[in-house]
Amino acid sequence: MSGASVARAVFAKDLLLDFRTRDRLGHMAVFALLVVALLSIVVPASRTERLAWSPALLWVVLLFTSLLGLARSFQSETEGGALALLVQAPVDRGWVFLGKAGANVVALVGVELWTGLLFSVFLDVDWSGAWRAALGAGLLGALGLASLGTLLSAMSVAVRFREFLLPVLLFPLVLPVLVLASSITGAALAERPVPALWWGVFALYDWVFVSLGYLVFDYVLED
Amino acid sequence: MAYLLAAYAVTAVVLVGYALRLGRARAALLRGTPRRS
Amino acid sequence: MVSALVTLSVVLAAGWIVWLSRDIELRAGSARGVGAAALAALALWLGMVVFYAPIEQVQGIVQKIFYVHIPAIIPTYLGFLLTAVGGVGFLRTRRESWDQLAQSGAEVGVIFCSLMLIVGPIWAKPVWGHWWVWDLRLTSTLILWFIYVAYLLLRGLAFGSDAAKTFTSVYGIVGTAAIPFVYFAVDLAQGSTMHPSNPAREGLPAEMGRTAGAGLVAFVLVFAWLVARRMEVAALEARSLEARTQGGL
Repeated sequence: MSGASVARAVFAKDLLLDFRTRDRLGHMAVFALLVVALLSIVVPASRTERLAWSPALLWVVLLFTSLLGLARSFQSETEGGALALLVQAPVDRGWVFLGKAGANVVALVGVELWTGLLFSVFLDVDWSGAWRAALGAGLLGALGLASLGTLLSAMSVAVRFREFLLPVLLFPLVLPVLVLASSITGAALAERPVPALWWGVFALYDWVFVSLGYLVFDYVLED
Repeated sequence: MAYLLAAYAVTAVVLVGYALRLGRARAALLRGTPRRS
Repeated sequence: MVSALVTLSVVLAAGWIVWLSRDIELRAGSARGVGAAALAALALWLGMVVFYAPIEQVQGIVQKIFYVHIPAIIPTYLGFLLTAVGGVGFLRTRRESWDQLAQSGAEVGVIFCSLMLIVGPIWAKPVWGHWWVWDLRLTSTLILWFIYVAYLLLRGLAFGSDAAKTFTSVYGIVGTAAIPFVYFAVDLAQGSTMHPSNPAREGLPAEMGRTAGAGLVAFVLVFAWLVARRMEVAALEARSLEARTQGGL
């Protein structure tokens, strides 16, 4: 049994679980809808103001929504007792991390697409010129959030007060995701060119934390 | 001027205070009493 | 010349701390020498602040807060470095001493980080009129502080569980890895900055540079001494815990 096949198995199982039960995805979607609806009532109605604030708001909403989903990354394993089985898999357990994080990336991208739609409906955001850059930022952002989120979620499962702990651990570390993603999205929406440096740093960030997650997960699963 | 003195005073108080706390803990442990946090 | 001296002291201090951690109980005696050196350096620094450093034209005497704000920078970052190194060491060898290094680095580091966040506003208020300014240095220091606090919180909440040291080692590593990105992100988000631009680039008058340098060296020594004492306490606690559990069997 190779590492990659383990990763694929975990990835597939998580996605299947997500699509069959629709719990996690459904909850995230409803949460995002609720928050965006509230925002559209509260935020000033002027078009220019909305355009200026939308990228940042979008990513703050995504941050909180993904927190909801990430916190439950390991729920099925802890409830079903499958965590012990995972630990015994005779491969480098970093592959388990890749599988789990991969499933989270897919879930997050789905949430992003949904939230982007909500923003165009509720907050008059016009994605027509900016959607490519926004998608790129979305992908890179999902990778960043999923890698750190999966790692920290695995750790917080075994600790008290994890609904409090996970955001406290996660938020300072994913600030770069927020800033980079909203800057790229904002520039694209304002029809300004996006500096290559931003893409580069974003990609580097993702590479660093996916790698670290892979390297370190072995030790984490020994709990 | 008050700001200047405040800045240096705070620094001194914090660092000296922490050093004293460490010293007390160390002394207690060397004596064999369990440290009370 | 000043920066070479400062760099040297940082490297020596870090090396000494790591060396110390490998066998803290036997080697703790060397801390006395470092403590004495720290006191001497502090005396020199204060003397320079009062008598040697000039009074700046624009800000007046308040500008001298600079000499107590800047020195705290290196210990703040050094703390993170030690936490990461200790984390890697512990994950690879499982030896307690690495974890004690990480914990001490974080605890002392957060103190210096907090000092920066307290002294910064004390400086900002008379000079810029606001207690808080969202500039590059202060903002990134704030995020650093959040990372430190998260680390210590994790340590506190996980305490007692087998995995506690593993988890904190991991968080120390990813937390430190995030720092350059955080710095970049804050810079990007800021656009312009209100903070005085890095004086080293601007060409600081020699007296100011030397005084700041003296402060940097002094604070590094204080940091090293505090970390050494903290590690000693950690080692003593571990031994006392071991003795009590064995006695109870």
